[in-house]
Amino acid sequence: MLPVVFSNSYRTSKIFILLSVIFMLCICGYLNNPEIRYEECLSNPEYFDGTIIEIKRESKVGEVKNHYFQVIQGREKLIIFGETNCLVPGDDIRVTARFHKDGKLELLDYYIPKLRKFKIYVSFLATCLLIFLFLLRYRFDWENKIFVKK
Amino acid sequence: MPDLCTHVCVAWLLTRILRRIEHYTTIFLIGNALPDILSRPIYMFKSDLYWFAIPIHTPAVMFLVSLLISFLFDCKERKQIFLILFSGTMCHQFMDLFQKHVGSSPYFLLFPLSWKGISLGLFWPEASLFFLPILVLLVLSTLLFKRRFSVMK
Repeated sequence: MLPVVFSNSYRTSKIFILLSVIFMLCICGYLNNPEIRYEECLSNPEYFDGTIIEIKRESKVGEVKNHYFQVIQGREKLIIFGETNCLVPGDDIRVTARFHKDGKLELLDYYIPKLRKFKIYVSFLATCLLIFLFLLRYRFDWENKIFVKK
Repeated sequence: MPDLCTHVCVAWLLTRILRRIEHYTTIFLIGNALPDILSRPIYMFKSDLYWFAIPIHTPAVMFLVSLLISFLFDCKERKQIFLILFSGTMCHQFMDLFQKHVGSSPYFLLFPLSWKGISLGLFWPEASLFFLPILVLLVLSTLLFKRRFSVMK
C-alpha cells in the first residue's frame, strides 16, 4: 500500500505546496536571520558596543596597511584594526571582529581559504559528473512528466 | 564544507558497503550533493541572498526538497527515491559537521526551530582537498575490482 503522500493524486498540488513551503522558509531565513551587520551597529553604537560581528559572505581583502586592513563585501568596504601579517589584497577572507562604540572594528580572528577557487572548480566537476551519471540511468517521460529508468 | 567531489566519493564508498542502496547509487550520490548544489550558487552570484539560501542547507528544507524531487519519479518507487535522497542529504550534513569555522557555524540543523549553528570544528573546509586523491583512488579501485570480478564470473 502506497502512503497517500506519495500517491499520484493531486500530484501537481503537492508539488506546488512543497515549493511554496520551501520558498516561505527561505524568506523566513532572509528576514529573521541572526546576523548583526556593521550598519546595524552604527545605528545604535552604545547598544552594540562590544558586539562580535562576522564577515564571511564573499568577502575579500582590500587595502592592507600596518595596523588595519580593508574588507570588501559586495559594495561595502569595512576597515578592521588588527594584525595584518600574511594578508594579501584580493584574497578571500573570513573575519570576526568586535564593534566598539566609536565605530571601530577590532580584529578577533580570521581565516584565509587559499584553495577556495580550486575547491569550487572541483565541486563543479563533481556536479557535471553527477548530471552525466543521472542522464545515463534515467530519461524524462514527457507523457507522464516523470523520470524513468532507461 | 568538504568539496562536492569528497562528498560524492564518500557516498559512493558507502553504497559499496550498504548493499541495500546499491540499486539507487545515483540517487544517493545526488542526495549527497543536493544541499550544496541548491544553496551555494545562489549566494555565490548574489551575496545579498545568503540568508535566503542558507535554509536550503538544513535538514528541514532538505526533507521537503527530497519529497518534492521524489514526485518527479514513478509513484511505485517514489517512497524509495525519497528515503534514499533524504539519506544522502543527511550524509552530507553529517560530513559538514566536522568543519571548523571562524565565528559561528553556518550549519543550522535545528532550523526553523533555532538559529543555533552546530559544528564539531575538526578541520578547515579546504582540508578535504588533501584527502581527495586517496578517495578518488579508492573509488577507482572499487570500480576496477567490480569490473574484474564480473569478468571473472
